[in-house]
Amino acid sequence: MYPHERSLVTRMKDRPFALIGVNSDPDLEQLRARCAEEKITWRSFWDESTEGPIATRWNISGWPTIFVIDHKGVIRERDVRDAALDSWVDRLVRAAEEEAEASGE
Amino acid sequence: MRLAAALFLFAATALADEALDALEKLRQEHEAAVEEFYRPAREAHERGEKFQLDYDKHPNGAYAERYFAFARAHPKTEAAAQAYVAVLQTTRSEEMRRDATASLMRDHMESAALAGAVYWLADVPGALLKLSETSPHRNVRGLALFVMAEAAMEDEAEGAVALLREVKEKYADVPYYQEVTLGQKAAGCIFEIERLGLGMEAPDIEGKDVDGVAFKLSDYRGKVVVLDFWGDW
Repeated sequence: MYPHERSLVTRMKDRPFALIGVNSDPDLEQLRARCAEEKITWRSFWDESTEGPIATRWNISGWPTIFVIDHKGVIRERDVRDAALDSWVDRLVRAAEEEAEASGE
Repeated sequence: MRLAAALFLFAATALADEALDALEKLRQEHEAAVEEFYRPAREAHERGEKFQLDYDKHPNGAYAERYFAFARAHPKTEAAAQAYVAVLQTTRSEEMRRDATASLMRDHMESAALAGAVYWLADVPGALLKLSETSPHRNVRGLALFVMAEAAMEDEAEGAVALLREVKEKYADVPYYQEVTLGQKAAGCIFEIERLGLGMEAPDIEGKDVDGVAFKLSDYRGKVVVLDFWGDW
């Protein structure tokens, strides 16, 4: 998972894109060490455990669970991985950029 | 006559206790076998090495057979009900699963052990409905109703929400898993149906990042967000 996420973040650098995590590891110290080790540079909410407040509210029962949210804040897809995730991101980021350009003119 | 009846009852109770004791012994043996199965991997992990487990040799398969034989040998007892539930939790055999659910439905609808079988009974037409209405155990009724609701979420969202509301009203305090209650699970499922569907605006999240800095999901409005619920395990 991490290599693909890293490449996604690198590829989308300086474009209207963010990878945001909700992390359920109970040990914060160890989590920080792992983030350094694996070069996890993207931001995560720390949710304390798999029964943390965010995961409970969002009814998450499997990890990882992924939501793709467009630039207007609308949920567009969930539970996509790999190439399918890349193509969703490509499409939505392009749409966000086009809209920004159009409104800038 | 009365004495004879009392003696009979006493003997029956003693036998039932014996059966439960024997099942408990089998359970402990099973647990030890599972522990032993994972031991090399655990020891390797402690040495910082990896160990490839051969899951075909996992003891669950063998113990499923033993639970099944045990249940057959103690028909219509509470020990049998518990053993059939243990079969469901361990076997990979469809046939054994079918036999175990059929026996539970036929002889053990009043058992408290069915709390551990609700997900397997979901495949048997009418089983959960009957359980949710007739089980003498409140937690079993609640769990049965919740699993029915979860199944309905797939293709009948409105019906699911009605069932989930009923779970919330009647069974909010019933334990679901570890610290999580049916009330929390039902609320989560309603939230998922009403707020997390495709095309819906994502609910905001407020929290702290790994460095303790507060932020919100909505801080990223204007950007495409991949929201990833993850754990390093």
